[in-house]
Amino acid sequence: MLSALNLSASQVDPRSVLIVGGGVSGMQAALSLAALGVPVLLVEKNAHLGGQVMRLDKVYPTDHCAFCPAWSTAKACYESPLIKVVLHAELTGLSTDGEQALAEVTLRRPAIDPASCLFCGSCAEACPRKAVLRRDPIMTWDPALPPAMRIDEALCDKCGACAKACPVQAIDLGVKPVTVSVPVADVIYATGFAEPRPGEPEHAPEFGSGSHPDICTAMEFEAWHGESRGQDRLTTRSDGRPVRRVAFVQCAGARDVRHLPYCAAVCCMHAMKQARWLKRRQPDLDITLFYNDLRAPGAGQEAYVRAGEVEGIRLVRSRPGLVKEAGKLGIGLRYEDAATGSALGEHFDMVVVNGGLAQCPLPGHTPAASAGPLAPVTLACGFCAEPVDVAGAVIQGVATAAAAAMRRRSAESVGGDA
Amino acid sequence: MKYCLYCTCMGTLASSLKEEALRSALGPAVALKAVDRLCDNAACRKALEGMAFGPADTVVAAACSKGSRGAQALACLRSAAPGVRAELADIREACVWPGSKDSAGVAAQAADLVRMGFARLESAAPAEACPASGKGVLVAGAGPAGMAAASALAALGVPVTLAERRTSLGGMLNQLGTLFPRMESASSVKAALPLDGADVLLGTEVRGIVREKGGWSVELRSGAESKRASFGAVILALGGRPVLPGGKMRSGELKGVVSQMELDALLTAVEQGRKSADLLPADAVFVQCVNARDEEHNYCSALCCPTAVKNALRLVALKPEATVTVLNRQMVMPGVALEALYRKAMQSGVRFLHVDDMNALAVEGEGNVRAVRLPASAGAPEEVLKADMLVCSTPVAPAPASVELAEGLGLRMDAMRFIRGHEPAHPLESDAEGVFLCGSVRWPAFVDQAVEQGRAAAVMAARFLRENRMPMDEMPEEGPAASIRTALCSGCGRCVQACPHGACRLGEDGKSAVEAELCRRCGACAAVCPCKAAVLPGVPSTREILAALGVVAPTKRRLS
Amino acid sequence: MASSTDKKICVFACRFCSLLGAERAGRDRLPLPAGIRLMPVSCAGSVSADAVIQAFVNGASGVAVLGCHLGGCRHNDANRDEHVRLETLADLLEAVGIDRRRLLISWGTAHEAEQYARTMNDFAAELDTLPAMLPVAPASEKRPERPVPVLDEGVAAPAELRGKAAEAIRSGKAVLALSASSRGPVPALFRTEAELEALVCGVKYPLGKLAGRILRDRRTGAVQGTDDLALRASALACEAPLAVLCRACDARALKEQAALNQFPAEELCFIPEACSPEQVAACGCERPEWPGDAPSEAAPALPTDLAANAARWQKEFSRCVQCHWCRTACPVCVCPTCALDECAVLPAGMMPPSPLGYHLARAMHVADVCVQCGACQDVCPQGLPLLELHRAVARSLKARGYASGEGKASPMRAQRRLGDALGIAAPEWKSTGGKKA
Repeated sequence: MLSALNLSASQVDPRSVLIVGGGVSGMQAALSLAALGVPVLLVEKNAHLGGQVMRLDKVYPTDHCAFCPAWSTAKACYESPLIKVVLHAELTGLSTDGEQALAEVTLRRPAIDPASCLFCGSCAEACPRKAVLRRDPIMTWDPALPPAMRIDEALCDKCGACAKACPVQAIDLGVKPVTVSVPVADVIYATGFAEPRPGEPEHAPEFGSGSHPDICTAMEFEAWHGESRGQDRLTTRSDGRPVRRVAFVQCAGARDVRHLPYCAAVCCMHAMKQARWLKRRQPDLDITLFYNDLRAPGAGQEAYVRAGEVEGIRLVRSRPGLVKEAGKLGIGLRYEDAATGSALGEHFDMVVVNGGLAQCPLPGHTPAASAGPLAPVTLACGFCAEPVDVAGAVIQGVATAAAAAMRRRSAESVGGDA
Repeated sequence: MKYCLYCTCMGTLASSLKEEALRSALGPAVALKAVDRLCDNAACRKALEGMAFGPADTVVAAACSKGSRGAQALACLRSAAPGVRAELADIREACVWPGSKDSAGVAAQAADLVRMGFARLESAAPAEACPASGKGVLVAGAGPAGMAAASALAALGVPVTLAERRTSLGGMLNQLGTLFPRMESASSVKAALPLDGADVLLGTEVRGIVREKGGWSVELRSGAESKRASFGAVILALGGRPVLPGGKMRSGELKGVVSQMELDALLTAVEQGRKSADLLPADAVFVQCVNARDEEHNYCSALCCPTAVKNALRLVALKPEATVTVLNRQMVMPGVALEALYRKAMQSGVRFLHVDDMNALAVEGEGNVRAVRLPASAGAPEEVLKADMLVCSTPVAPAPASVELAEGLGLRMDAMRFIRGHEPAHPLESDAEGVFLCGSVRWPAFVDQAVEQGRAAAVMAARFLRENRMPMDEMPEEGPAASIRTALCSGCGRCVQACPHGACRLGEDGKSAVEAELCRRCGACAAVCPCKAAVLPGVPSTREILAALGVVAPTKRRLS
Repeated sequence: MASSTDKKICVFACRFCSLLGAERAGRDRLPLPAGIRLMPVSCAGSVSADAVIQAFVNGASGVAVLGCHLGGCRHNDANRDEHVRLETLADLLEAVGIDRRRLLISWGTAHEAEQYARTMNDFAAELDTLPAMLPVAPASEKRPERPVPVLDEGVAAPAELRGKAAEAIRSGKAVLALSASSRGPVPALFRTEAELEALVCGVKYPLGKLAGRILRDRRTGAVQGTDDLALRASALACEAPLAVLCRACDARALKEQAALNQFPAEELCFIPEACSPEQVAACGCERPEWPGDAPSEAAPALPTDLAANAARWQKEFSRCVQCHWCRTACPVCVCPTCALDECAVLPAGMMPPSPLGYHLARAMHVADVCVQCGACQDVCPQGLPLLELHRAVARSLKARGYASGEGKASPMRAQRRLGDALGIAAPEWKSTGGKKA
């Protein structure tokens, strides 16, 4: 059930499991719990469910569309009577009032009410600054929800022309965040991952992501090269000239104690997927993948990598050193070739820097909060628990729901006996 | 009477598609009314003021697409006029918005879309409910995955039967001492999977799984005895089969050349004090990817690297003066926990050496293994590693029993004969309705993954029994299942072969029948049936195609 | 955009992918051809060849079937089957002069707005470049002079064949074959060796159809229908297993009927009658498969000139008087009532069904079971070269390694069992390690 923008304590079953994050893992956990008869409160900070998968163009190892299974899962969540979906909302704290665990949920309502918007476009026509957008610039889209216009906060000067033009009065430019406290029983975190951004400790500045448009992260590149843009040939992000040489640099900050000390488990395959899609569309493109250990452990993944190799993707076992803009030469890459140990340099038109993926924090999850006798049981699934790909996130989400439901049942039967 | 309600989306469509233009394109057969909006209950009631619909009347809402607010418009319409036979024609996203400047073309297109809506109404049939099956779950195989599945199902109160070919529970848990990545003991994991409430059949082989009404009929063979039992869902947890070194690295010829499993057993025995630490090697060389990632086993099992790291750590913990060298093509240690384990091994003095091709290694020794010679490579000269034990890491292959069952069920397998799930979004769901996969039947899984997958498969099976559809089928088509008009059916069986979900079957009368609870409304049966005996409401009907082309459907005539 | 609005395009769009692309293209207000008639389907695999034929017959300028990636179908690869059906249909369309480019088959490429818009605009633009389709005129042409491939009188069966039949009778079988009579050769059931005196061969007679009927009668325990009632009644009364003395094509037809569950395959027993070079030549037979059959002449290439094909078939179809004998004679037409009698494939204002739609739909209905025996063509009172249509389909399937009567799984059904599960062909092993040599 979707309750997009209103939430109050009385609407929430106090036996609910709170799931934080509506990506594949969170959605599957929610659907599983609901199927087992457990009420769920699913809190998602974005405008729709689906999480990072909705930003993917294709998924390995099948090379099929990512969004088709994701959006239908989202639709099932919206429609389930036992799942209360709250969008535009974040968990900001966990506490107890002595008997009941309370979750503090902050709702950040958008100025255009998605529940009322007809998507007729009158606001966009009226806006003098072109600040009203039809598409979400970050996420792709969610066909499970009616479309809604959105306002780009950076461009909007709150002149109010859009609100006047709206035929159904769906726009309130003065809307403020609201925080409500709702009762919950247990918490499952499924907050997923984020790419390290410049300035964050996980981000390795020497690999240049964020410093130049043609040095991009994996997700930036996904949005750039994806089929959703409908471009035949790859062009640079900086000036739109055709790309002839592109490099994928793996472990650029990951498996590095200074930045991201672990392996994010999915980047090798993700880079390979992007490389193969590029090669398929543009066979003359020169594609090189610089890797440390090429990790393709899952079902069908080794065959996938082999196929890429056969298709002509150059694989170089190496340790990356530096990625930097090199003027007319494009983007320079310095690396240490692992076979010879020698330091080498090459130039590319575009470089995709895979700096690992950072596990998202678990808001409100403090040792103190989980220690008290009345504190809710907290579990985590998906990438925030352990780096996983889509298949792993699905399995983890369902398995974590199983653990929560089993614990719930045994607690209830103990309570029943007493 | 045919009514068309043209929703102008608060007037925003009115300039591109004029009411009059649509009316003249539709002709006199359809009564057209333009309204402000339909996707709001109050507005819809207002729009319908003064209108009354009889049972013979049909209404098409010419509005936006179903995914926009069309579904809502239809719901409002049905609540404002209960019992009305109404359909949606998407004239906003599919016609006005992408439309050209050619307003006559837009009107003609809109009129056809409206007529197609009427055609759909004419060929629609009433919905029917699917009954629940109410049977239990069979878990085949009692390794970690199967035990986890059965344990979870029992804890969730779902009737479950666990069948194991061997006479003991646990599978690989009985052979492994310590498990990565948390280095806990296998027996503690086994103990954490209680089977209270599950029906456990040891020494029982699962054979011949065949579909029956409302589930699966399974032959359970115990010794010479064989019986059939019925289940609503089946979880395949038959595990894998470790590939043996098979003469590679002079195994079987030289003493001291062992498999990773044999080392595991030795370490466990020493840890438990059953064997002396003197038996442990002083200089161990681990060789990864033996019989793996080659032509025969063209894949990475992904659990040999962590196993090697685990055993290297155990070895240096038991015998700190021992040297351990792991020869690898690359270390596959993805994730937080495994990377930490890898790092710990490096800090403990375990040496990791990259070798491109394991076949280029020369194993030296007579009677006992003495050394391993590494060929020179671009970056390093030739090197000879002293070794009194050479440990081969080999991959995991599918178990013959799982291949046999999969073949019987017609499940897809990959080139290596692992059973395929619907990767990546529904990895544990097989092609057969109600058959789930976990553990190494789908891909080599280590104990943690197997337990996780077992639990997940258990919940999937419970979801299947409760909701009567595969969990991956989150967006079931509304409306009734396909059906066979028996009088027209020739019993040719084309639909049986074409149905991707095994819902069509030939009955005793030689005619096909659709099992409604298995039907997922794809319409493949209707597409292949030459006698038009198989029908699925919603598959574009003749009427709809004729309406799309602006052809007035003639009355049905038969010649013969 | 450039396409004129009277050029209608039927678009069958899978609700999981391309329907969303279409919806979003609308939301993004991307210009699309006004001729599009969008029909959501629950799976591309639900689009029958009939539906596509129906659209063309009723004036669609183009038909697009859009679905998920091959291998990515939510219905266990139902779209793979569809792919084979549509490719086969495209070959058939070409044979009658309809450009295959009018049928757009697109998997997994139209799920996003821009792709959908581009796909459809390119398709509409391409349709504009094609010459107009020829309408099918009402019956006007006379039957052409064409050699009749029937040796009317037949010849007395040679001793060897007679011996084989006698052997079958001695082993307790009843032999179904042709017998000389005052009316010429007629089918008969031989029970005694003495009766074999009248055995004739060298006649093209559809014994496969008759034998199939007899075996079906035995299964149902009653003689149904209107043909050969006396013989079938005596065959039903006789309990001896049946041996059919027939040509290779009749045997294939019986095997296909068994595969269509009309009777158990174990009940089939054949006494092969080899075809002479004259018979092979008269039928233009491409599949003389019995031992002793004369070899076939090199199969002529199918004419590929679309305009010529179109003009020729327009003439041929215009002669069709819709007597439906082709269907009645067909040994593998096993439906109790033919769906083509309903208005499945007719254009407005015509007697159902239209010749073009009827013959195309019939060729697709029997596509993978047709044994190319030519019975349809032999009985046609107007001399339509119907075997050519079936050969076009058979050649299309042969390119996929399939031929009827061989006991193989049809590629038009249950393809999913054959394909690689991940939709990725496993590459050849190139090198060890990550690095390419």
